[in-house]
Amino acid sequence: MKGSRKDVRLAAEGDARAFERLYHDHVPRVHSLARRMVGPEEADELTQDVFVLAWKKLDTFRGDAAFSTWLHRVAINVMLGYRKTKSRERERYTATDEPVERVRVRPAPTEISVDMEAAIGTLPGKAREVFVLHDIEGYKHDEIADLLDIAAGTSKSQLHRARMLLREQLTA
Amino acid sequence: MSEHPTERLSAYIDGELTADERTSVEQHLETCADCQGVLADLRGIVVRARSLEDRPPEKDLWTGIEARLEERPVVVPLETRGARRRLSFTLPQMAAAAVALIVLSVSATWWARSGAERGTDGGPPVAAVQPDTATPTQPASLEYDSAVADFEEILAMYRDRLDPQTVATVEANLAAIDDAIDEIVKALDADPESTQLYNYLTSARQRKLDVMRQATSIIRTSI
Repeated sequence: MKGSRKDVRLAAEGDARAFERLYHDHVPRVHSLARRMVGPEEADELTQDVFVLAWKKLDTFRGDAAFSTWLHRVAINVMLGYRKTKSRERERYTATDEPVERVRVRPAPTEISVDMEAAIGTLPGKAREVFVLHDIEGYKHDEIADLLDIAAGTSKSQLHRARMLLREQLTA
Repeated sequence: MSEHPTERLSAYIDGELTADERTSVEQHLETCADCQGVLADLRGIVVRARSLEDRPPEKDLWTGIEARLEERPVVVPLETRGARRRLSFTLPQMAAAAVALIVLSVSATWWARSGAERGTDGGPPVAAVQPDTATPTQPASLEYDSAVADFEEILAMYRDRLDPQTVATVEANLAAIDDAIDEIVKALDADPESTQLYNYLTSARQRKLDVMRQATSIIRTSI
């Protein structure tokens, strides 16, 4: 069972070995989220940040939700915080909302499913965040609106924008 | 042919259109091959996104994480992280603390041992180790009171140097136990022959000693 209650309790009491077991159980999901939200180059570092923060905050985990849900929320907050910081840095150099990180990816047909993540990585900021949260992580638009501090209507329009951009890349 | 409803196709897929909007989109789709193609592509994107599998990182990240983990104290009700900050003391203070800790430890050990020696015959668990003149509601009170006094002395000595939240938590725990002890003592005054009440009293006092022992341990790790 992932995130067994016993390991969560032991880790909360300071047992690093129990926390290591939790790490191994949950790192695929956290790292995958990081790759999709911030890209493969920074996914390792952000994943480490997530688990270090989770360790620090573990005594605030009340057990009302599953540990995986709690950890995932910690991960989302770390990723969004990082992206917000990066976004502010970019604003110093560009005044446009154009996808500055966008790189055209035209994968060969055999690579098409593998490169779904690469294509996601080319999406502009908000479209990428909304697409990952909605279509991969299963969040609803009102939840995304709260997380990203945007209107639900903006979330919907960004989702459509993301899907159309991905269609352009993956099905052309 | 009506205008292409491309902007509404995502909402159509997600079931977020009103009945009228949905009908309008479907009527358009019946006759527009382009929009049918876009719709199929968008549905394909959604399906592929949902079927993405999670993968672990290519290299193990645990070593890097472990190196960044701060030692976290065992979470017990008494403890807060602030209580672990480094404090500095003079030699006389350290000596006084050491003496006080020994006194408390001896008192607590005696109390625990006397508890082990009593009660196996089902009789009053504390009166068995008391002088004949002791009242039932004062079991082993001299040693117990001594341990409490020692602890209060230690706490008073280091109170200003400990995290206020820790001190407040310790005192709240002790006050709650004291309230329970007071209630049991009152009940014993009314029913001095009750073995059950003696057991409760012993248990409550033992709990108080345990709390004091934990608190002393916290103080010890902080100095």
